[in-house]
Amino acid sequence: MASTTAVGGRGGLASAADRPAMRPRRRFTFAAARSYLGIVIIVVFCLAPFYWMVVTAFRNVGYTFDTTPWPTHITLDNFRTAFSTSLGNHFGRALINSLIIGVCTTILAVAAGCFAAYAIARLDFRGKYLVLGLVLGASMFPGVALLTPLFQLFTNVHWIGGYQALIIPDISFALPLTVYTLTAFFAELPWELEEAAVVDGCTPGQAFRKVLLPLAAPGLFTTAILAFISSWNEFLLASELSNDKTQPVTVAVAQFTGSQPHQEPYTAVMAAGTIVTVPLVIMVLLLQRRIVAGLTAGGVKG
Amino acid sequence: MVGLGRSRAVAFVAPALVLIGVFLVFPAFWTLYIGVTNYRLTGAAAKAPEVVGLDNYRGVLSDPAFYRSLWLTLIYVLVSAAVGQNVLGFGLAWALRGARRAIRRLIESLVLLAWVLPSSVVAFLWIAMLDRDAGTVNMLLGQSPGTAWLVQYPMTALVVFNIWRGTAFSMMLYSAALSSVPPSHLETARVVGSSTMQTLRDVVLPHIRRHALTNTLLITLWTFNDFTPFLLTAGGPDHRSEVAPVYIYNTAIVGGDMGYSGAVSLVVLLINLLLALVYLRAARAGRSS
Repeated sequence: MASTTAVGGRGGLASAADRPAMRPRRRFTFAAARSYLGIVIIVVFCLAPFYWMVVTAFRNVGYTFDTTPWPTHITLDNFRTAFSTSLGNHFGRALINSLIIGVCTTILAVAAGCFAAYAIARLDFRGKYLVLGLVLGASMFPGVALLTPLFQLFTNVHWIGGYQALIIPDISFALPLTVYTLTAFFAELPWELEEAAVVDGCTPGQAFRKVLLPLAAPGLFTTAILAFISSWNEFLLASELSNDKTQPVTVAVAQFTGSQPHQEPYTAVMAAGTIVTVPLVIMVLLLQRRIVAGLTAGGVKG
Repeated sequence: MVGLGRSRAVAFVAPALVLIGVFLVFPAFWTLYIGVTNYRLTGAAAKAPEVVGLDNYRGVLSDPAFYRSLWLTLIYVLVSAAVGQNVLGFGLAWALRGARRAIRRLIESLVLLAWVLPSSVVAFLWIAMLDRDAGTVNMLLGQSPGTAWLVQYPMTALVVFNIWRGTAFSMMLYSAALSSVPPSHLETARVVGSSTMQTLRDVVLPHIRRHALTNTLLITLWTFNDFTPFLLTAGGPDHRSEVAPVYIYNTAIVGGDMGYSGAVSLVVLLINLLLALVYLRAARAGRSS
């Protein structure tokens, strides 16, 4: 505004001509300022809990209730407490358990999902939409409603305390998402290439393996990340179907005991939380685009 | 069509279907049976549950605690998901549409982070933040000892938490949807001088209607089945934040009455199925139009 009025005299005509072009730009800057303010608020809203977690994780346990907003009394003791088996925290073991469960779940879910999605995307068979509908419907079951039947079932077959009691339900929970995402990815693939490969003398199996699988790799990779995250984060079933030997980190964190008796071990939990969070933060930062693509693939195209 | 017949299609789909069938669908039907027994977590009835007929179902349908949990779930779903996440997610996607790429990526990562972290960790984070004596929120408000947020305003705390947690999905979905709005249409709207509200209503909405529907139904179902409220308030104080999944957990695991919780589960499953059917119908209607 100031610059337009400052140009007087002869410039007036030019500025008048400029005005229509200027107006949207001025409006844009105002809108931009407003949206930047909004962005700053959102960043604070999103970041504050994490920031607090990391600050507390490094703070001396005696200063748990210190409210200084920046890091003070920095120590690594909380991480030691988190890993301390003498205090009854099986965090190291739980990390390994989570890795075992996560990797097994991911590999098996993606393998089974890949076959199913291939058939759904590629083959015409009766009952195809029934399969897709069943898969979708199953993804909407509340986990807590399945807790009692699964507990009873696994008690009867003596699975409680075994990894399979955690891995297999995790696979079933990851499968609907896996099948759905992969179907969306597979629908986009250039299937003519497969036919061309068959014409050139490949068997259908070879055509899939050598021509299409490399093209489908990004989709498979994205799906694998999502399956891993869902298994890494599973808490509800694991809290009932695991024991001290097989419990994953999510359960271990919820059962922490601290170095001080009768005190909620906030600092140690924050330290453990920071460790659990690290792989996910790295994943999100490195693979953000892929994760977004995977999550929106089903939603937008479905 | 490459030479893969029906039998092979069946073989391909089988592993996934068997896993889903045995460990998702079968347990769901099994609750039907558990609901007519007096199965308990511990004690004699844990070893040899007896069939007690429709007692549990009758009990559930005349239990005020059950209706209260449904009512709380409705509030939780409507306010935090259908309105909160939806509106905030769209707002963010809309505000970031013109922002620089670096900023967009930063915000996306941050929001995604809240979505991707284990619920037991983020729940603890929020408990610490909302703590009465040393919580960050009370510190910022300069009161100590301050408000015990999770005790005095449990539902409000849950709603704010769930908005924080789940906005990422809506934002990502709407970002993708907004990129399908032809820029020329937006340009035309701007040239004819329509306001932001007018542009949103007349230009943007028709393009993203289907995405909005998908998004709303997905986040509705997720929030409906969300168990994280248990980790924050355990349904308390005095059942004031006992949403349906927490109610099931509290009767089954805390109260030990698995037969009764089986009956509740079945009712909740039926509600879910209904929602899922609405979703599938709406999706099909969207596809054919």
